[in-house]
Amino acid sequence: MGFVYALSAMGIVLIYRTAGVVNFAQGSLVMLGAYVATSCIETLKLPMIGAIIAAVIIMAGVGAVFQRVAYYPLRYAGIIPVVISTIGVSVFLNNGVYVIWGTYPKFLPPIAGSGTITIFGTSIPLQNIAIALMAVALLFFQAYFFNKTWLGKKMQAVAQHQDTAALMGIKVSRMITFTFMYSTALAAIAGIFAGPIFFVSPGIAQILSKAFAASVVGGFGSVPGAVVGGIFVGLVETFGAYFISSAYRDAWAFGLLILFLLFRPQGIFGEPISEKV
Amino acid sequence: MLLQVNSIDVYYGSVQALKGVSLEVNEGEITSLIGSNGAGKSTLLKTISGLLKPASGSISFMGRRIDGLPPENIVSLGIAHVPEGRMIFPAFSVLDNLRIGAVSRFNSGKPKKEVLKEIEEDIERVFSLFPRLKERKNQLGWSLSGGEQQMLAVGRGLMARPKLLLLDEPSLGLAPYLVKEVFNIIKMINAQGTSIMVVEQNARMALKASHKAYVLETGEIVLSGPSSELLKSDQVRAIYLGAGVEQR
Repeated sequence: MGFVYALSAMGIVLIYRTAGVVNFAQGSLVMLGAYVATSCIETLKLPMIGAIIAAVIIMAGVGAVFQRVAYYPLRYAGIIPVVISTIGVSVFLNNGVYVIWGTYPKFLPPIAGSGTITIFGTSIPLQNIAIALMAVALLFFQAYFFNKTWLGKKMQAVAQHQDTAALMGIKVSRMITFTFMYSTALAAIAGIFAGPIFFVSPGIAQILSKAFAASVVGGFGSVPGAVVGGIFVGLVETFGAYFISSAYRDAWAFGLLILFLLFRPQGIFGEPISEKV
Repeated sequence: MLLQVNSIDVYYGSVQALKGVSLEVNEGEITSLIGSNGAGKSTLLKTISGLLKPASGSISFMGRRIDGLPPENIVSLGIAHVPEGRMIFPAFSVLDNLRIGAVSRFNSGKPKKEVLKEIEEDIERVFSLFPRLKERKNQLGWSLSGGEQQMLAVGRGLMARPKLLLLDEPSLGLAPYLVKEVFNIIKMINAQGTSIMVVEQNARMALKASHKAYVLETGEIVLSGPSSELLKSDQVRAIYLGAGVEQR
């Protein structure tokens, strides 16, 4: 569960750093990703791997459209109009899926089947192992992409100083589009992980609040913070549900958020870089 | 004539920051623009490099109109702008800051391999100008001192292989001996064939280093001429050089 939060939080943080706006539609994009993956399997009859790749590519395209509709026309208007427009997109998506996919929840099979493996007497679902492996692979890919490729560096430069990046010859608006596409592709993967845990329904969009909790706990604006925060929120939720009470499952996550807001509002990784002027 | 700015007006919202400003930069020279805080010096550089658009007037670079072009195209034409406050990318290493300064060169039409090779050569050239940067090549931008950041900002500007280098307040916040060093390097870069336009509050340093100078006051050019003459002018000495207390 933590990885799902981490991936959603990462999408929010990347867009925040690059475009300076907070995307309230990230949870709905996770939901849409799960629906698209379901259709790839049920309607297009793709095998699991093919469905994952197809869903990621389709969702990256959705990210480009989303950027063009919800952010680009308002890019000079400041943060609040964009926030409202992303909330609008979120409402549109949460209700729009009923029109396309109907009101019954869909079922997305686990990516690694439903088997379990027994290690030292504890049985662990293969699905969880597959999620952890994919998440680690994704983190390695991301570290490589942002630090070793020109495109990744250009996107990072835009996130650090937009005007200066433009002075270097970087097409800022194109890099922002790529960031939206990448974040939405992350949302698709989060949706594919989340689908088998919940049913595929607009309820998945509520991941948004946990993703925000994760990004605040990690330190808003920090990418490693989003990952650590996501896993932390997931663990607190699971342990709280197991050891104390599962009826208050959500309360543990938000309790953690409130504790952080009270005692460490900058989060775990809060702004380690104090820029010199 | 390398750069010609022709009576431009620039506004921030409803506030007029530049009023009918005209100036010329000759090829191979250092041109300085002096004036106090808020006179509009940075605004002028931002307008030349495309971050701001003039409401009226025109800007030509090597005979071609560039006002209205986006910054990424202007840098590809050969104008590199080293912004005020250095604006080093704090999370990038020194090497990556230099490399990102060269991205405009991928638009030159040369094969990518050749450009990559040139970039590595140019990094060595920057390191020979600023040996300090070589010592710190793997350090992150935010961890450098103010002087090192200024050197990196100038070096990053050079990575675009500009014909004209725009420098905004290169002496800001630096110790006096570093100011001298920075201006020596500016003269060296100029001697190697890059034309330079430098904006400064440190009028004496700028006038001593440059061939030609303009004085900007509340958005208007009030004085211009060869730097050596401005250095002697009573008006400039009274306002910008603190006449009476200066030592020659």
